[in-house]
Amino acid sequence: MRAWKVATPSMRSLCLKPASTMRTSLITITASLSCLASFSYAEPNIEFSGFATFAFSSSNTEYETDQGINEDWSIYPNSAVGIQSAANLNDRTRFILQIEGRGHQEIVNTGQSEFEPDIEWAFVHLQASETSSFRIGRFQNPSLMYSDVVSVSYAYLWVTPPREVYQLAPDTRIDGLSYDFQYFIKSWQLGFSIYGTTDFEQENASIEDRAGTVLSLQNDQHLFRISAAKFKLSVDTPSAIQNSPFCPTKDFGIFFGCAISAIDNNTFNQLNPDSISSISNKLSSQDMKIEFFSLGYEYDNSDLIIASELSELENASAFLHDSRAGYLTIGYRFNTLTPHLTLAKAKTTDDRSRNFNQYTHFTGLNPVYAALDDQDQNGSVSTAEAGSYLRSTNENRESATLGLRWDYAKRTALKADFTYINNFKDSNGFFSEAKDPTDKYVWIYRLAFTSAF
Amino acid sequence: MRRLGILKILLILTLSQNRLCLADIAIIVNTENPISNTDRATVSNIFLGKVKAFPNGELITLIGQPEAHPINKEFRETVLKKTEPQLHSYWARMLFTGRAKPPRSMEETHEIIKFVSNSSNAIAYIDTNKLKPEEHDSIKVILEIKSK
Repeated sequence: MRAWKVATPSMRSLCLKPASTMRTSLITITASLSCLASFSYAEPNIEFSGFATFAFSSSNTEYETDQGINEDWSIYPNSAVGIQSAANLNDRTRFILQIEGRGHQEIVNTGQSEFEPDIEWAFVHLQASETSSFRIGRFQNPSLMYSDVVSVSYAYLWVTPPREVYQLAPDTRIDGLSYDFQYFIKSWQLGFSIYGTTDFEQENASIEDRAGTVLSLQNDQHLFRISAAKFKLSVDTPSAIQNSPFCPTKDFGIFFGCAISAIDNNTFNQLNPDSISSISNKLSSQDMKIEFFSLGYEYDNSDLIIASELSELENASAFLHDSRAGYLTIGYRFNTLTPHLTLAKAKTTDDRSRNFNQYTHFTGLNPVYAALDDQDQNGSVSTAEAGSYLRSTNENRESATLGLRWDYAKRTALKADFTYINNFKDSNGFFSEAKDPTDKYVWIYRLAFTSAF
Repeated sequence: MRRLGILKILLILTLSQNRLCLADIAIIVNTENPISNTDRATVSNIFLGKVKAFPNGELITLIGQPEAHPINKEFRETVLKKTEPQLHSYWARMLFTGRAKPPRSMEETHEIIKFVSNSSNAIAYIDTNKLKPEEHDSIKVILEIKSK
């Protein structure tokens, strides 16, 4: 995090010249104006800093699990490189620009694996008073404790925060306005943040009416946190679903893209485009109201580390999951070594609403049946498979992650996380791709070098 | 008995040598700063970038010292109560979310004193033993922390 300062030429030396050496001329007037300019602003400077994470991930499966990870070791999931520059425009105004290259693993129907450089942060920070500040521009979604630093693996314990909870985060970046308030009660810091964003449109999909809030209370060792967010998601056409262009990109979050992507690949690929269109249109993918809540707690006394988050995502559409997830992490620092254990769980909470048998009387889904029956007559898919498809969107899993962080040198750490996932309850376990139903458990391995400088 | 006595002397010598390595810390501000004294928790919140301004509304400029300097380690452990990797992780979180930036580092104590005496919004920590008598009037000590 060392910030290298690049000082721009100071105008003060000009201003401090003895008046006697100045002549009443145009030069003097120009110099005087320059002096005024220099006194109007704090000494301007630009600071640079950066971070890098090179992670290698694999699983014991042929199919894709979390973040598209399968048995082939890949550098794309969880790797990121970023450069940040901060310009102090004056003592109350800073401009932050951060360009990141994030690794995107190929997930079914989403294209090639790649490092995609993009502007992830670009905002003006205005310190309005001792307690209030504003951010205007692009910044990262603060829905969860680590969601705004997910790319900076050096800043937390694991290679990546527990996927059970973080796959539910409704987005990562925001274009909008944030108001931040902080107040101290003795050694406790009370923080309140509220943000609203501009409507966002991408090919065949859009997000509207988006806002969120975060309330936190922290001191030297404890952090308590509550956050809530809401927005409306519209997915226009089945092609948007089929191609899932936003899975796993930041624009709609991994959850939505991958949930939809999983639906495609389980069953929809076997249907003809007209049938897909019919099904999609009837499942009301417009203005899906989505609400997100989370509770977080972190304890760190320099030796013992405890972190826990619970999150819940709700929406009015039967097409997307209502989900609940949580994790508990305990770690202990032995000098530069920090072993840690995480237990996590995630499940869909609206399984009943997708029970195929419940809907036999519900005319709204008749076109779905009709479309599927058409396909059945063509011999490609059966109504039994349709039921299977609807049930397949129910998800359940539990996991245990054993990890080790080794801060072997200044500002650099090596990490290894081994995650054992089980208790799928015949579901797909929130994985990117259809899982082998005979697999009772899955291992995911993540190794990383991470640094901040 | 005699062996025990030698061991005791060696132990005392070792402890006293360690004691010599540890420095008392003075938290200093500009003489115009309205703060006359403060506590460890407040200083910690200031140097972790949580407190942004002094009570008079002036935004704070943090002055630190190079990591290799013994006073830095003493300050981190006694005031901030964090390990080195823990502090680096903390600043990664603060810096890359734009919430705060780490203190500006200055090499020499006299350089720090000069800067603080000229900047009404600066705060710094120095080794008390390196504060020369003639420099006492140019800055204000708002907290002294004795080494453990």
